[in-house]
Amino acid sequence: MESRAHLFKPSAREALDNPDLQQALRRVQAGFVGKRKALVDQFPDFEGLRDRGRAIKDHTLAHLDVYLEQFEARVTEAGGQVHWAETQQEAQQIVVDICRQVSARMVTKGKTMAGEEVQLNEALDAAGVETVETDLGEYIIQLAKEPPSHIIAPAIHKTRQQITDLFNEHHHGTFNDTLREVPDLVNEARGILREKFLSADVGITGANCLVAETGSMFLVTNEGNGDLTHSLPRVHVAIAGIEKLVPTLDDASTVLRLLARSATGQEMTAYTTMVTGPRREADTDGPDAFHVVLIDNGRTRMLGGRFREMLRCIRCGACMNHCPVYAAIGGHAYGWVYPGPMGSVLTPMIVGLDKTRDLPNACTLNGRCQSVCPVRIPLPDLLRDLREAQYDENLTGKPTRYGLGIWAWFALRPRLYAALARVGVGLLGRLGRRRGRFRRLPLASAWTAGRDLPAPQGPTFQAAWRNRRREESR
Amino acid sequence: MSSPRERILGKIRTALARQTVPTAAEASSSRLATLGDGTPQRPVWTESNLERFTRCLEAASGTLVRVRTVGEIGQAVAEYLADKPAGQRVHVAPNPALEAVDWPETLTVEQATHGRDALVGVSFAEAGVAETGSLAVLSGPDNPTTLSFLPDYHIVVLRTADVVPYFEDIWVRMRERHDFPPRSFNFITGPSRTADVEQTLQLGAHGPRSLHVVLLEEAP
Amino acid sequence: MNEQTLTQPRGTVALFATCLVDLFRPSVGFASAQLLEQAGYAVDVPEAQTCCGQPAYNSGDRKHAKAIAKQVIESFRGYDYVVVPSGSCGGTITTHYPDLLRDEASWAQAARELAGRTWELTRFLVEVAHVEISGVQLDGVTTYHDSCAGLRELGIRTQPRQLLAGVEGLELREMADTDVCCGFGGTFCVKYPEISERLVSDKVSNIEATRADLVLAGDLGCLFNIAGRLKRMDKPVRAYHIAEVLAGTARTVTAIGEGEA
Ligand code: SF4
Repeated sequence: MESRAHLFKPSAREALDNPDLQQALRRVQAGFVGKRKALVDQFPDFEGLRDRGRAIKDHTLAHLDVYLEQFEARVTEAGGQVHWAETQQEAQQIVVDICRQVSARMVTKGKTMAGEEVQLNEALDAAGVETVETDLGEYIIQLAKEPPSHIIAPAIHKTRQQITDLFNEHHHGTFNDTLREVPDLVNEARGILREKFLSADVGITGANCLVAETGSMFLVTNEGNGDLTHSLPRVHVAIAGIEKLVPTLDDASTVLRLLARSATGQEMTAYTTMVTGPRREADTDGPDAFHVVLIDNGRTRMLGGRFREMLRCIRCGACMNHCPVYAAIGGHAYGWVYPGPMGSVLTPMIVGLDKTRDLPNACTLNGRCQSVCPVRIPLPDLLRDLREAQYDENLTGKPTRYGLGIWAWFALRPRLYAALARVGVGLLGRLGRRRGRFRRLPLASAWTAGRDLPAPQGPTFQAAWRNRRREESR
Repeated sequence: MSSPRERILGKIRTALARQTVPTAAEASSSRLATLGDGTPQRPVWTESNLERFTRCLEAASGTLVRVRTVGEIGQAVAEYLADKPAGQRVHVAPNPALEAVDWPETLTVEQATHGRDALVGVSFAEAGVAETGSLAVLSGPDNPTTLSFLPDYHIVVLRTADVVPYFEDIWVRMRERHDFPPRSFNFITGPSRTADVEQTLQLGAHGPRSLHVVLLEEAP
Repeated sequence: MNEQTLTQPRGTVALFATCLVDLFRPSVGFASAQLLEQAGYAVDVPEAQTCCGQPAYNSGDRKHAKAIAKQVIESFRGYDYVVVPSGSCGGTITTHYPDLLRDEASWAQAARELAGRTWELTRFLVEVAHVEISGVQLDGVTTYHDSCAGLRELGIRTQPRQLLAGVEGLELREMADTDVCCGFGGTFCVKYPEISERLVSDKVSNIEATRADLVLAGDLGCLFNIAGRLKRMDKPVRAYHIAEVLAGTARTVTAIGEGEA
């Protein structure tokens, strides 16, 4: 999808005023946060596990070239094919070509954030290939023609009523809006998608983890849609960012332990699958061909500097589940594929700093995301680094820049600062002493729009302190 | 013109300020140096591996029955299906471990090469993982992958002797096999599920609506 | 003057009042100084202090942030300890200065040295001064808001609770989501006022649900945000900085945002 991150402010405002969305968002925190915590608390050394996760990813990134080549060699030995895509266009072209070669009419898709990132559906559409999302959440938003609002639960913003309406409209052509039960809705989608699974020509999935040791990819789902997607069609295409690699199966085990707990608060998802190559000679089912599309799309740019740490991300979504800003506005306001804290770092890096000015700033730097990130990505520090980059590239708003400049000028001249503070505080103190607060104040309207501003007590602390010391020494 | 592959690898090498590219052996020894060869952090339990396996499987909404001999498997399957609207047809993986099963007359048993028209599928698991209550089902001519995903009722036979504590233990066993890795190595932990509608858990999303383990105590 | 300060002081403490305390709420500064003096330290308030530089630092203005950091390092040389009644400013000095100045070796060294003797107030009282609060009375029920920087950068959670347990008549009742941000976030609250308002409204709901009379915290930024919202919604819950309660001055000083009437 095209980035709409430049519309952050109006979108956020809309989200705050959307009661359906607000109702849906409350469930995110309630569900994910509690379940994760229960498992983390009972794990003997989760902090140690996080350290190990970080170390594995750091080591891999420092040897990314070596492991990518090793991965490619193993995939080839297993009869699969590796493709490399530097850009979105290249990734699209590779997948479209694969589909054309087998004259594919219909493609089933497991959830892939990398696929969202390179706008795969749009490209396949344009090439005349029907794509069907098979993850229930993705399917729902595909019907609604909306982007995902969460990387783990893409339709988390949808209420049951909205899903009922979508299904009635698309499956039955009716607008009967009697609210339907969850089992009923799930069953209906199951029936419709089962047909699609059985008749698809190509199955496209993402990958949660690539393993250099064996040339395998891991795929983690609860629905089983991923497995039906890669097992039934003639061709399986997996699409993944180059940072998804780990060296060994043991390392993959560590990553999976972190992923399931951090993402959905499970010890293990219902289906964790390791795919290696296409069907073997004697196999009686499985695809004839297996392709992996490795995507750069800005990742190598991040590898060289401070933002390398972001490439540790295993896309678990814990950071957004614990983010109070995400909880308030949901995923769509972030304007692109990746929402929440991880998105606020990734989107500017991939889409560009100038088109995403709000993202690094719309954060209180409260650090809750970092405290749960399974691979210890210092998200607040990276957001602050992005703010610095904005400042250096003159992308910080003029009022902020000037304001900061003037304030800093005084802050660096303590005597002048104290004198000015005495005057200002004296005035404000006199104005506000009786009520103790201001309802409205010139230049402070952003503060006073939603809250009162407490008035100063009187003289500054510095002045009062020195006064008292003088009196004491008398 | 260089290929995307060369360009990407080139950019990586620039970003990593490579003078020379390390060999795979060097990378692997640096991995050992960073991570150590000690055991990773993982769950611990005081009950037996089998008890843990059972508990986790049940927590994931799987069910389990124990039988003593291969022969008894057929009866166990029939009993499991007795109160279910599953019909009498059972699609069984053509697995050597299941050859000696004594199927009751009441069931129509078919050897499966895939799961396309199976309502009940019976597969064989190479191993069980106590850590999470997961079954390791490996694809191959004797275990079609789609048989694990298309049926409504998935029944898996597992030998008690094959329950190992951790994932890493599976890899140790598997690395010795010439046919590893298979195309699809499935860890199955309970039936299919989704929480995509209002975060409400619903079993039977796309895959099996139920998962039943027949635990075989007899050694091969 | 109390007895301990008449004998040999346990050490010198420079109080970094923070810009908000300096401008808006000197009673927090006095309460902090009183607690430190009662614990036996000689307290000084270095004159050259203005702000820790956080607004610049968090806005990406590294140049000014660095200049202010250096000024703070200079003016707080020579004291045994630097104590800050704020987890946020304390965190800036202890965790961010060394990082901010990492490219200038001698300044980085000085920043680490300063970080080594800088403490957030409640943590200092518990972990360094081993203070036990006694003889302070305040009747009522309070709830406590953990400021994010204090909680996650400095690991402050048990210390304020331990100190509050010594206040007679005061019952501490925890609110839900104590570890969730109140929506202040420095400049965030004025750059994204609507989002900030939602966050602080949720916080106020959690506070109200405890039916506490008081809400306490260790950071004036969060407290202004919370008190400002409480007042705007005409809620009776009163907000104080924890130092004011521990020093016993909360009984004489009006709550944050309350008038003399
Ligand atoms: S940044 Fe960390 S918490 Fe967020 S999605 Fe990535 S790995 Fe998960």
